[in-house]
Amino acid sequence: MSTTLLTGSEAAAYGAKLAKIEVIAYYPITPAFPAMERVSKFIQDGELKANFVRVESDHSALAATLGASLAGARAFTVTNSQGLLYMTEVCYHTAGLRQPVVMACANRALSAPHSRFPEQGDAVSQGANGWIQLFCENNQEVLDNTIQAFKIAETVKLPVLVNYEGYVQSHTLEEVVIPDQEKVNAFLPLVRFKTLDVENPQGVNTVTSPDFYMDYKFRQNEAMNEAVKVIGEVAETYGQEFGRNWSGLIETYKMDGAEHALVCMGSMVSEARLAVDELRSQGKKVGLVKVRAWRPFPVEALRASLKKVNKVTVFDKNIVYGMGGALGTEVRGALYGQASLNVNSYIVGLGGRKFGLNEIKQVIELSEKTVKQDVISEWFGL
Amino acid sequence: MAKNLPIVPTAKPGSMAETPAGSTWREKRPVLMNCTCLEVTLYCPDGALSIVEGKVSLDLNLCKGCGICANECKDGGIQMVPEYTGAQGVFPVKGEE
Repeated sequence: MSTTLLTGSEAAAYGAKLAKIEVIAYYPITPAFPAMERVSKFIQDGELKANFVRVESDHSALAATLGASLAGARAFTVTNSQGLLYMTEVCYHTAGLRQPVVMACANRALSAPHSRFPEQGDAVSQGANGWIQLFCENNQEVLDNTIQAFKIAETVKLPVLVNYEGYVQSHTLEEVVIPDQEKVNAFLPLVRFKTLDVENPQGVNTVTSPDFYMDYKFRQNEAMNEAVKVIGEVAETYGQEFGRNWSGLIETYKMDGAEHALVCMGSMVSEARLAVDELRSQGKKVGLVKVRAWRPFPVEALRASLKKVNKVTVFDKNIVYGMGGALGTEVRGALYGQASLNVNSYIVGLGGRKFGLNEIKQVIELSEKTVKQDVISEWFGL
Repeated sequence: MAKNLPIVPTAKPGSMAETPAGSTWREKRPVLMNCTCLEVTLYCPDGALSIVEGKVSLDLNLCKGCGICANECKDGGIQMVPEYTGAQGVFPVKGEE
């Protein structure tokens, strides 16, 4: 075990190295590229024995990663924003073919207009593609979640997207504890799921008639439901082994006796903790629910944690045009019929617009004064 | 109750043979004339060509009519012929227009 300063992208690379990935296929994109650079350096220095596949596009990057996974290799890749969109078709293939691929994503705003700044819109655009999605609040969690992602993926046989925010995390140095390789080996033994076999040739992703397609989709969704339990179990085991329990689908912070709950995911969680600390010290009954797993969506966990509050404020660093913030919409959906509480959802920080501690406190104040009955998200910070 | 299916959607080669989709929409099909270059079997993307007792054999249940074999055959021993010819055909054979 050692402690060092790492950016979020480097933390993802360290996580992949500790998970002993065997294949990485990559196409450069900002701000995820430092993860690729670090992995390629690990390979160059002989610290990681993996095959680095250079490809001509993000689509091919995931296709090559998927192929490697089908052949039984532990495979990893990294991307964000436009790259993730370009991969979309293969994202669906990977999930439908039930391959335990892990991909890190340095969340960045989507074009047009072109932006290189942080936002969660890219991950949200992939909310229906069948991947498990974890959001990390700091660089330590990026490393820990990357390792856990392989465990989750290989247990339920679904791919996992590990989200961390562009620049806010990808290019910011933080103190990160790097666990011992032997302990990670014990936590994550190499299990091969080989679909491609020259001794027993199979057609993969075959044309499937109406007699079977729907049943495959049911099974795939069942795996997602299984992940609800598995994500919590993996976090628990990891916590016992490595001393850091990032909790399962959600984490509650100072929710005891809270009347007003903040709900958000990603790097905003770190600052929301500070806002809650400050408001609590002033006697305000505010708590925080961190959404760590966005897919599968933590319906039951949210219902349980929010049943005693009378107001929920959701921060959405994304916009689903014509509906509002994705998290806000889904929190409302999860709580429908559960309580008569008031859910206020705010679109914040799009394309890198500042959304720090002060802004969080402003939104809380705004939300305290607002009792809305509609389902539309408010825009903050225009 | 959902059907019990393999986790990864896969099927053994030839699974489609029982319902030869190609036969209903294939525009042209290969006819083996005097093809002796066995390598041509390697080019078929659908596994319709195979070697049986040292000779090239064609399974029309698998053939989609792409014509790659006719293009690749070194002997020029495979010809693509229209599925429909004559009065009902829309693809007249050369020389018979």
